[in-house]
Amino acid sequence: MTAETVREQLDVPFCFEEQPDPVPAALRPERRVPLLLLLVAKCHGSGASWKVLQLLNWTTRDAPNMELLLSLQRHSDIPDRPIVRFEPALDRALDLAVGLGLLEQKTSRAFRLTPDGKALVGEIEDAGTFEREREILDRYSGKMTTAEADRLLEWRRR
Amino acid sequence: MVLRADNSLGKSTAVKSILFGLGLERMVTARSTDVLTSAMRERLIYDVESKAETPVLGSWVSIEIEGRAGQKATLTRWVKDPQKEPGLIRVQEGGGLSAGSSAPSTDYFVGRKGSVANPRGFHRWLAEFIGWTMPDLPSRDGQLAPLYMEQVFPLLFVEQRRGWGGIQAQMPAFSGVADVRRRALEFLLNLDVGDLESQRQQLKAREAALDERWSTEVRAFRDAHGDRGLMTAGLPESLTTTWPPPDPPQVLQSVAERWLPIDQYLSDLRAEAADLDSGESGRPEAEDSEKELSALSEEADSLRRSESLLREQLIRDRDELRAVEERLVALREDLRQHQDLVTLETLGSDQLEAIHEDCPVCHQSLPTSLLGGSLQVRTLSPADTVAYIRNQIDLFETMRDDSSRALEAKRERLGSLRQRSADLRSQIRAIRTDLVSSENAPSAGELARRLRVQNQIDQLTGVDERFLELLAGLDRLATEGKEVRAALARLPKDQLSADDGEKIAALESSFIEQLHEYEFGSFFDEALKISREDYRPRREDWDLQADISASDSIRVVWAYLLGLLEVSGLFETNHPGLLVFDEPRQQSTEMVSFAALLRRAGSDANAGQILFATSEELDPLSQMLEGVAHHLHSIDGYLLQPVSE
Repeated sequence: MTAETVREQLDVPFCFEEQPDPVPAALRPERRVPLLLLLVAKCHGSGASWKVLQLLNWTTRDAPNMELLLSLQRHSDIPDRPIVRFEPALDRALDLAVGLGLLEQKTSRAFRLTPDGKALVGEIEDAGTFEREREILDRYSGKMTTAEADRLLEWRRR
Repeated sequence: MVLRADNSLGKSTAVKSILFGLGLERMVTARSTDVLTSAMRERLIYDVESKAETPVLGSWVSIEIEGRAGQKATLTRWVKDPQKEPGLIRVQEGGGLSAGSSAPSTDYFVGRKGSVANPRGFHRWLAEFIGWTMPDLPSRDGQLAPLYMEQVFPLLFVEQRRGWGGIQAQMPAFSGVADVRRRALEFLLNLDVGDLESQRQQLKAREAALDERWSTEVRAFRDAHGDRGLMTAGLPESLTTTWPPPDPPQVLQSVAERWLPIDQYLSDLRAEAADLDSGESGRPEAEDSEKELSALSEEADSLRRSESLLREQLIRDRDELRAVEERLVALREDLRQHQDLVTLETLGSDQLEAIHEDCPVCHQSLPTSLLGGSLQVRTLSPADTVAYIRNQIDLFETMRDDSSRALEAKRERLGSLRQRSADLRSQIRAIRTDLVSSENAPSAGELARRLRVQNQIDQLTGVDERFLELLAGLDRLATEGKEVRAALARLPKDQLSADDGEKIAALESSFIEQLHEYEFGSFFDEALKISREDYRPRREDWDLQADISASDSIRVVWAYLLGLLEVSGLFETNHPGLLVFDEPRQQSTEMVSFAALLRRAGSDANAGQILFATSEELDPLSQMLEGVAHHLHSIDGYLLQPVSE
């Protein structure tokens, strides 16, 4: 095949269609918004502060993170593990959940479930989804309060 | 048979005594004696006038049963007795109650481990008496589990309190048999499809056992010859029926940078040994020894460098393997998270749907990811992502297996290098000894060389022999595996046989006919049928009982269980010809329907024994029973009475 023939063969109209990109589940709103609601449901009914949500979010990322939290609760430390890490995607999920009417924002960046949010939490539990995250959260007995979260976060600075 | 008594006079206790006497109380309760009321255990009221309570000193249940062949047996089980536990059942051959048989009796145990399998287990005896062979069926964990009698009896015995909640409303799940309601029906109707499934599971269990033996034997061979520079090639790690494989399996020996088949390496060694034996290579001159010493020292240095390089490679490969394994863990986690999303999407939650819509305020598209920044990418849907992640997992699993194999080969090479280094050191020492020893003395170098070669020949011959033994063993397993897989392929798919189809059609016809008779009122019955998949009544593919009135639900249970008994009169089934209905007129079912049930049951009298326990008034009951073949036992006062000393 000569160079001329190749050019002729290539010189035809073509269309390019951009293909969708695979995005990790951890960055998908349809996963992070329901997970956020589970975190808010784990907090005391008076509202979940932004700091508490970042803390709980970190614990659900990996079981050892929750182990550390439970350990601190029992007044013992696992010094080589971080207590919390900030995750920007959680903030975006928070904004989205407030905008969608699943969470209501009180003053000073504290959040509470709306009736729609509560309904979605019920659906998530009934569907048996987020099993691992719910297992991790269940290891912390009762509801998380802002005061308790502050105590845990300040533990190492005393 | 109709047993009539007013409420609260011991009728249900009498009916449940049948379950207790047959050791089947676990169908309704976890504790054996709980099935019977306190009147059998603690305090008995037997005088209607005084209602005085009398302490129970001892109580028992005796039942006389008759098999299809006319053989009789009398069973006695103690509820309260100073010596005899409720776990004991005494079986006397013959009619102990009707004819006062004095035949010898044998004691059996029930309600504990072994009561089904042990020769003195009562349920083993009862199964033989009825003519049942209880099957082992697939369980929820993929193993085989026995079907227990207590799981078949809900089709024969409807207890008043919870039995009328639906067909097989009381179903104990203790054996772990998967889909136990369907399996119990297949057993009772003696459907071929149940046998086929059982055969399939047994064959699969055999196949799994062969596979396990195969991989154990291969692993054992590898473990026994590790760290000697040996690898197997072309040897399948799990059961294969393509045996012998197109490329014959072989053992490879690591020699310097190459992998030589063990046969070839052995023949090289034997040639070397023959050469040494021929004596052509006598004691070398000092000059030659010096040269050899120098060459060996260089080789030893080179080997040390190779060893060091190989060790570094091993560390790198281990890191790579760890990275692949970590990637696999992350992929599996991402897969699980996406599967959650697919589940939530399938449920069609309104709140979640809103995430994919536009912003309700500014009507712009909501972000499809939480990546942040102004650039929003078009994201792959969760379902497509699940498929994509599965592909990645497949590839990474292949990479992990491949890396593990390569790592193992390198470890073997390292083992071989170490062995070669040790040989070299020994040779160097021997040559040095030769250089300082008398010229007349035998050459230590030659001796060391001979020793090393012979040692290697012996070792590798042993490996070769064991490899041939392994191949012979695998050959036997492959032949057996081929037979099992061929038998599995020959089994028809999980479909009803022609006989099965006829049985289900007969059940369907009887069921619908009875519903007509019982004035089933929920809807027209043209769409009613018995499912060919789970054999339960359906209406246009919907579970019938989920969609009808409570009284119609009772009619469905009557018609279905009586239908099973009627089918047993037409075909060969495992139905023992017994049906017990405790208070069948539940949910204020119409009298006219109940009368129709009694008539239908009366016409089925030849198919077996049907027992109704009812608290209907005697007069209307007698009217309903006119023209119906029956035995009526109407009890006045309390049914349980003290036994005179």
